[in-house]
Amino acid sequence: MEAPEQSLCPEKSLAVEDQGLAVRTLDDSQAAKPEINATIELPNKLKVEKSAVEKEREAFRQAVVKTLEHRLFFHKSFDIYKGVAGLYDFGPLGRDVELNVLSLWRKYFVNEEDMLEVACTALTPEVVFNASGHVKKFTDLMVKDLVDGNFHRADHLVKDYCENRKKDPTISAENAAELDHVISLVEDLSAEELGAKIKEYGITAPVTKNPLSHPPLPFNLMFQTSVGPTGSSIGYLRPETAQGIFNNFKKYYNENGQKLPFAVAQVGRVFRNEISPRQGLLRTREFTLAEVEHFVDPENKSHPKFPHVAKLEFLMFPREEQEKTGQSAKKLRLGEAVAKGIVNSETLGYFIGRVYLFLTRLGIDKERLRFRQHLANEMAHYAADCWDAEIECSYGWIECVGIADRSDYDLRAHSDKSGVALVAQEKLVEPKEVEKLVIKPVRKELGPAFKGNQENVAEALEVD
Amino acid sequence: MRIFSTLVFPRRQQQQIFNLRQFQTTTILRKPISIAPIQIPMDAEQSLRQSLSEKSSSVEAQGNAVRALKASRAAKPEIDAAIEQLNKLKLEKSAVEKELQSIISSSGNGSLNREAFRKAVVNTLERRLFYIPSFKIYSGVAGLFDYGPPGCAIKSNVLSFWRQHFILEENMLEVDCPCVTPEVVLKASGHVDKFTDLMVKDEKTGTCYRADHLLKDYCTDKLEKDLTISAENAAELKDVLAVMEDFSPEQLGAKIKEYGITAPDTKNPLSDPYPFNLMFQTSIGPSGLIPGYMRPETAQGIFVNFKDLYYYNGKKLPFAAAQIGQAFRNEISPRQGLLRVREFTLAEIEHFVDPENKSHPKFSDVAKLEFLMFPREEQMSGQSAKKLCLGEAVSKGTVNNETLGYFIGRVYLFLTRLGIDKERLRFRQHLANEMAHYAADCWDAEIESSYGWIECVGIADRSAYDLRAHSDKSGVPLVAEEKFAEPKEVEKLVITPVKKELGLAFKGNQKNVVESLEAMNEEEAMEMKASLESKGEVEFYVCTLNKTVSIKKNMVSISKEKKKEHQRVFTPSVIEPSFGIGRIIYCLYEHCFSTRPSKAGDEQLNLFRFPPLVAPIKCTVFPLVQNQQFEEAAKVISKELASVGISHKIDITGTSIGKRYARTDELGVPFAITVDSDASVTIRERDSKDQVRVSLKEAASVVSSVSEGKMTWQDVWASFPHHSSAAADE
Repeated sequence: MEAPEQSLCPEKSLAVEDQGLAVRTLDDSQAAKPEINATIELPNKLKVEKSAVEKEREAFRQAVVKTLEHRLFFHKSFDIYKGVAGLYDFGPLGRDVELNVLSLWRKYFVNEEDMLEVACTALTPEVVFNASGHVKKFTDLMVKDLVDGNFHRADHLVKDYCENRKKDPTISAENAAELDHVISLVEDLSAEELGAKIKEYGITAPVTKNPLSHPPLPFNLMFQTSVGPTGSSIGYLRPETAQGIFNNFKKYYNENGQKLPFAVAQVGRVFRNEISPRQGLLRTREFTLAEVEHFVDPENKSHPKFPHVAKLEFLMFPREEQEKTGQSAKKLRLGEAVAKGIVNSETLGYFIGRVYLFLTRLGIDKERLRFRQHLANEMAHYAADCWDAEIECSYGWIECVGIADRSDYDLRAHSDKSGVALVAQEKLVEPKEVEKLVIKPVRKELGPAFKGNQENVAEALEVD
Repeated sequence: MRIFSTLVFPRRQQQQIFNLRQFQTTTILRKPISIAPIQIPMDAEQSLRQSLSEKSSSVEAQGNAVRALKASRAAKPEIDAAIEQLNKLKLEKSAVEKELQSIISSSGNGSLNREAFRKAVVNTLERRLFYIPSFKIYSGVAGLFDYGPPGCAIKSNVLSFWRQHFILEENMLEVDCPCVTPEVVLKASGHVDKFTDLMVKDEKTGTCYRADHLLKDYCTDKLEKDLTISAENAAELKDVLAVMEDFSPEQLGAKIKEYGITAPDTKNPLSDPYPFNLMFQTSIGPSGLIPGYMRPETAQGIFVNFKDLYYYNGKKLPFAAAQIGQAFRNEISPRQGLLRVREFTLAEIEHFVDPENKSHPKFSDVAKLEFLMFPREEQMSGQSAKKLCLGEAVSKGTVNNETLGYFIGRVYLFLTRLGIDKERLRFRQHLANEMAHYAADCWDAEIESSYGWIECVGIADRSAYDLRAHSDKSGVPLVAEEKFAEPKEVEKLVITPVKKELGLAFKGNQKNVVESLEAMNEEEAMEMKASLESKGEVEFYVCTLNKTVSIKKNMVSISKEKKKEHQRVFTPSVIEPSFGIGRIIYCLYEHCFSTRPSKAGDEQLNLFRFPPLVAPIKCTVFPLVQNQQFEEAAKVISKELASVGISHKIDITGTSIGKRYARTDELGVPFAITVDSDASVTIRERDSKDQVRVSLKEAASVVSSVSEGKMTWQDVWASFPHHSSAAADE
């Protein structure tokens, strides 16, 4: 198995891993993860060698996976035909565990919070993902082994290279710092920048050492298909369940008696055509997502049940701590984190608390669970705040739950594309007098001045 | 208890013309499906058509006579008499027309009632978000539907009961395989080559249609609306309807030409029919070199894992694996709402059994069940489904074996427990031409809905076909072993083709000949041996070459040898009950839907009479009026219901209690607790609207027992004081 290098000290390590399997949002996927590990003593060899800790971890993982496969908790799909990377079956015990997890999830979230549970289709017409941005942006950069034709994720290769390189104790401090810098930025690099790094470092294909294609090319991670017999309507298999909910917002809002806040939940299959899946069950091409979309008035993100979780204390890793070197996650009291503004709102804080209770109730070790805040450059520009529940395993810290305040981005995107207003109304007890900004572009004047560009100018002026 | 009001739409006595295309879950490869032959009372209809055409000619003749008389300026009385005669004939003709029309519409699809009923159901379903067309804000995609909250809850109730009724009760192994499937798997199963429908294209607009649908629509339309066609023509059309699913592209194309069928709406000419594969294709990984498909059924994932599951089960047969999951079919032009969709939930069981022993230890549990069955012979002889005792059907050989019979019985119990009307449920055996050649026997559970009889569950004995197909393609033997307690002496047929001689004689075809020789069964081989010994030469048909070759004595040796065997290795048979969950749920909606007048009598109120087992919410809790005391009491009850896992909703809106009842009736909520004092509450049952008074403390536990079937409403009715509140209801 092609395991990426691990941070060596479990307690302090911070995964510079791929994003966790489940919850990558568009912009997350391009975003950087910080690298704050203290340097670790390494064998005095340029060639990469696995440390004792790594070896131990791998042996441990092998023992776990072997047992799981042996007892059919899970195994490779279509094994009699040699299988397909990134596709796994759950056998009877694995299925039972999955069902139990989902039923606790329903109890903890859907029932307890009175959410509307829905089931939308996996097949989705192209227009939906044009609106959401997935068609354009849900991509990874890949390079091709020019001899055997295998594809690799460009950022993985650069990151692996830097991490290995760093283990060489003979490199200078500046060099080490540069490598750290690259690692922290690697997911934000453009195709050209990544290509330049690959060239600069002379990176070749793993195993074969063959030369790689240049520059890296974006590959859309959605499985594409064609709906209907004509071949003219493109469809995709959803890479997340959320879009189906956003599409139906209006109906759910009406069903809820036009009251906010309310939440819609969905458990379902999603699909991502990974370039080169690795890490077993952590990065697969088809998996189950359970998503909650909690719709709330942007002017009032308080939560009546927040006091129920305010006293919880657990490992949190706020942005500021991550930016200082040498810091790690600390036990914080949730109520304080919200009061101090570390967590953006009560509602976000409430869900963080509920997720903590859910995961620990399942049996996740609370010492190996932390809530890590996204850095500014990891978040989409529209997001107000994002926290990932990361769980430590033999692959490092893995993002398992993402809790994001996505502001009104998604509903707006679909309103704009579809022309159907996805909005809520608050009836004021008494009419309020408000001052409104009125911008009226004077077309007659703009026309002669800007000709064909008139529309764009008018639109830009109207944007408030 | 009051009896449920009768359903709104009339029950049909006759079998339906508008049967669906075969539901392909079970008939995989699945091509075949003819609907059962049409059993309209042929004689009556035929003689009416006959007499109608006679009357028409007499009317025409008389009309000519009148005209002739007029032209020849005959005497007025004579003309008047002739006209009177003409009118009389016209009257007779229209009487026959009416009679014919009524026969056709009672047996055909034509009932307006039925469509009005369906509209009422679907309206309610969509308005209350049981389901809605997907991506509606972008004007949607045909054949894709989302389940809203009540639909989602019903589906999860149906699935959890399915798990309990099949998986737990029978100790099945539940697995979960991916939807994305590499091509090789579906090549082996035959889907890549054969999972197709025939399609025609509007030659101008490019719109595609299913060829058989167009032909079917043409025939039924003609039969229903055109009273002038002759009895022979009508008979031919019916014949076409019965056999069209077996038509080749050429035959279908010829019929479309013959009848002059054009594209619906545009009336443009149509292309010749050509096959269209119903699987959604995609590409796995970045290279574009690994074609994949979205699975059209879940079964293949189980078959390819047979070996692992067999080991997991301690190498014992029989055992069953089950899977619930999404399946995908790229329908050419989906119609009929939830009944034919492009993405749906299947629940499938693959029961692996020794082909030599298909008995079932629990068969006696279901042997006494009696329900509507429609065996092959009854279909062929134009009869209709009748109540049969399952035990007898198996012992008489109507149903092929006990295991198949056992599943038929279990499916019957499952569906009726969900709330499917047992009078509108029948088990129809596949006709010989509907079944794949390898299948031993197939029965469909068909449920009658406003669309006709709909296949909702297929129960098929698929013999060893699927496992063999994957063994052959993958080279991994998917077999079971039976160890003998003592070694058995068996006589074994040994066929040894002599390659050297065969090579000389057949050159490049040698391999095909060898394979055909080796594939002979015992009877064929012994016959050949005898012929070779007597004549020295024999004609032999090689199917892979599609020709007959001459085999000489020196080309093959055939003998029987005695061998000691310690075990028997065989490919198990598969018995496959396969459930279209969305179809079952839709039929359930129709069977549970009814309307009743509001108290004021000014409007019709909708309700779904779901059994508590499937109801999306079991109970609503209402404070009678908005006051803090009642609201607090309601919250206490709600908490208790939550702690015993009873799904419920509190409704504290100030609207009238009647309106609130109407709202929950429409969601099919079976019980309502109304808090109208601080010591006691009323519990109302949805169908009867009866109410009992129960103490505040007991309320949750009573609702919980009656929801979970630990007691019936009759029990509750008998044990608690009745509450009659004229004001409260409606």
